[in-house]
Amino acid sequence: MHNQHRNGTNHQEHHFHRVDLSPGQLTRFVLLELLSGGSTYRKAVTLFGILFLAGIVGFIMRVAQNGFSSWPAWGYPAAIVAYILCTMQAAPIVAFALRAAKGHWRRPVSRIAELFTIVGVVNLIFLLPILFVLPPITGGRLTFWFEMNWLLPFSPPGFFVFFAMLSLVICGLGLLYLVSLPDLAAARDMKGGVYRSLARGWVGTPRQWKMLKSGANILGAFYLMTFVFVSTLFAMDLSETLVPGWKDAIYPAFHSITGIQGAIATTLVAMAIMRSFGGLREYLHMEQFWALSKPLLATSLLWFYMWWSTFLTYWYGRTPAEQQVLQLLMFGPYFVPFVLAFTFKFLIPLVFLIWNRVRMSIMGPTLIACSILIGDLFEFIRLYVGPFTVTQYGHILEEVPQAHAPDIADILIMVGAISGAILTYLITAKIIPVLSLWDTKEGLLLTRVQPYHKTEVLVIGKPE
Amino acid sequence: MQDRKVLTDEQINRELLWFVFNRPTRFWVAITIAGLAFLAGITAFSIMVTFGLGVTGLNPVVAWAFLITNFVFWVGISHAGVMISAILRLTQAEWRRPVTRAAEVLTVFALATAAIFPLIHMGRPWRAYWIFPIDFARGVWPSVRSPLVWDPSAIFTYLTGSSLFVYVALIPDLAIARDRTTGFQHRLYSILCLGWRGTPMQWKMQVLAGILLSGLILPVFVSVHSIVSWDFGMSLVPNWHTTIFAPYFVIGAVHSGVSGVVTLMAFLRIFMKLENYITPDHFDALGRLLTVVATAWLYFFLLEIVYGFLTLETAETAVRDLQILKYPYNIMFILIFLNSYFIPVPLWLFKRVRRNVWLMFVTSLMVNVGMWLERFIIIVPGLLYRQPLTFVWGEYTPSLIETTLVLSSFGLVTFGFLLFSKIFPIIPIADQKEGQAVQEEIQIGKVSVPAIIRE
Repeated sequence: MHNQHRNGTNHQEHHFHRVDLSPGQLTRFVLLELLSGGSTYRKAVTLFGILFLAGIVGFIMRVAQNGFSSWPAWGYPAAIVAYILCTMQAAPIVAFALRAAKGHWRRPVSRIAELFTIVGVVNLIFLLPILFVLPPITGGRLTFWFEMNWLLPFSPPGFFVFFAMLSLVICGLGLLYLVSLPDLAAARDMKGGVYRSLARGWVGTPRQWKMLKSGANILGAFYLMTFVFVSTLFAMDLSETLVPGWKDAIYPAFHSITGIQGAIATTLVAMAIMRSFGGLREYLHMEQFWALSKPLLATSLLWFYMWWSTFLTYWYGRTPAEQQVLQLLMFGPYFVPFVLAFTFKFLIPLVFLIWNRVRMSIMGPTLIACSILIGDLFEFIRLYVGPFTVTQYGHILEEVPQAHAPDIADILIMVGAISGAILTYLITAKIIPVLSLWDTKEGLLLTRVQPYHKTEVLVIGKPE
Repeated sequence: MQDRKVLTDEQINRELLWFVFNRPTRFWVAITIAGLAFLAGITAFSIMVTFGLGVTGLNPVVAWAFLITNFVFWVGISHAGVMISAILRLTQAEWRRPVTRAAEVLTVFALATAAIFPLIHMGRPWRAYWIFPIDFARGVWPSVRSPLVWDPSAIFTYLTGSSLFVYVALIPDLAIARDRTTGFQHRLYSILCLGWRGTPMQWKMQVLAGILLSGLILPVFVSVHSIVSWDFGMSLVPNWHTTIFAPYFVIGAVHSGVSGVVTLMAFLRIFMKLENYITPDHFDALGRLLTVVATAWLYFFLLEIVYGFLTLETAETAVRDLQILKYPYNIMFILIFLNSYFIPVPLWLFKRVRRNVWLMFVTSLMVNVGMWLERFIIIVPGLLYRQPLTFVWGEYTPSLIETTLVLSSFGLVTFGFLLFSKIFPIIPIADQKEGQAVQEEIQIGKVSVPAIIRE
């Protein structure tokens, strides 16, 4: 039944689709078909579960070998926490941005992005050991925060990083719960069970709908601002201040833009997977991929712009401290990760996404998104592993340390962390549907395909 | 859009060409005032050329002050055009239609005004040709590694692109004006409209040109103010040598530019009686855009302050101490915070404020006062304490000449804008008609919901 759809046709290839289902058919598809797990789903859960367990083994190996006192050994785990923050955990920003921009094509995409808020819970747990191993600020390391004696196991800046991350997770969970409420209520009415507790008293009164839409916008805006704040703290206290002489005012913003680029890339890859394996083939079309490919190109250019701003200022100024930082992060021991990150995050997206034919496809933006996600991994390796290997204090990095290659424990931790995040997403997707039922129904009400002169056009209602 | 109006083609032609074909008294009053302000600037400049830069407050320590601040300010204002016109065109935002041309024209005149100020600042503007590599006999080549050489390249590229942008979009409207005029006006519009007849091929080329120009001008838009920021960032002056200046200046430019457009739209609505076209919906949309942009600007502003203190370098903290704690810069610092963010943005969170034309006019003016002061407080304090030796520490007090030049720049931009709007329609006629054509309504139950048509 969900093969019934009406395409707009004109003399060129159409690029809008409208699923022609009744509300009842749509409800049954979302709540029965999407929430049930097939063999592919079970295989995926098994695979990522095994990899996650391997990651736990890697973590135990790391603790056994180095404990929590030697922070150079924890560079790769720190890099992977930042990677998950700036890819999966940032994805809900895409949903908020599309909702705020009122793009009519966003409806099948929103929930796919919003579900990534759950990844924040596991990433918060992954962050804890990193905060324990951070070098103390009493040794002369710079920090944004003043020193205080706290009763907590880790003192500033670790406390503030944890608190900020916790705020992000709580905000994200609140956002996910709020936007899922109507669907949870529909599941309550159809299936009962745990949904009776989750759906609370939602009955869909006009006031409740108004509160939901305002709340989604407000929480979405808070999520974006909190993400930028967390990104700023990660950039400053988990990376920049570990290197004496590294004073880069744009770095927090650069870190945030990397996150937004990663968010769009993650959403695109998730959309492609949901289209191929998640049962959303009739809902995710070229239109969504085409639309997201443009901000993907824009954020890739923005990433380069911010990198260039740093590089030019440092290269032109030629101060000894800045030259040492360039050596550490770009042209010295981490030259290869830098080149790979540059290629995957900027050159490949630029060369391919400037072509309309690549953007107007499903495979094109998906492959570029994969490229960006690979580039992100190298990017965070150079931005975190390098600084974590610095054990000096002072005003200048006297000696650039050698590159720190990953060992088996590092590889297991990285693979396990990413798998754990994906596993969390997969499990949540069987509780909260990946297609927003109420959003899709609203879209069906507000869109029409109708004849216009000699062609057909999409008419989009704008009740606001 | 809540303020949707159904307008016929003839009504649109008549109302949007009224100001072009008529000569209301208020136009002559406004352009006379603007012209007098501009003349005052010419007088001040003549005095400066005759008696030298000594008539300004500039000195060997504080070599850049009011005039360069004004240069940066007007480059910032010029970012409004591309922001609103190109970006909103590419994202197909319907509410952009009445705003685009005014924003683009503001860009052109703001940029032209900005380009004048480095020439004024030279003191001997007849030597400006030295930046061009044309005089082999002098044996002196401009240093292409200097941001001061990158500046004219970027500004003139942007000026050329913006002018093309205005002109290409103007062609169909010039044809409409051609068909409604006689005599000299008819000849002028006939030449300028390049034989436009409105054939399908011409429309196709026009739309394609608009999209291409929108895409191509975006990197120029980012690069212009980045290069202006690198005039400061590439030096080693405390508070100037920081990596954040490029995006910080760009976001500040967008903030002040879009605020400038709000000021302009309010002026056009009231002055030219364009209530049918510039509605509270547009101010609402601009207010929401400004809230986002202002918040981004605040983030960069705070980052810049934090990093000034982070490394606790003596020179940096001395500059910050001057900016934040010492009179009169501390007053300016507070005014920047209040005018650029903490008064307007909380107001803009309320729809009732965003839809109030007068409140939006006042808050947009406040933003630009704050942003002008922000550029001043970036430039001057860093120079005052540039040297570690106290006997070369300087002070700066602006002279009447500099103040007159700054104020006259506003007169120049207003004069140019009014002159443009007297000759060409300031709201795109063809765009408005297209907006009417894509308006639709759909029935959902008993309710009729406004809709738009998408291809």
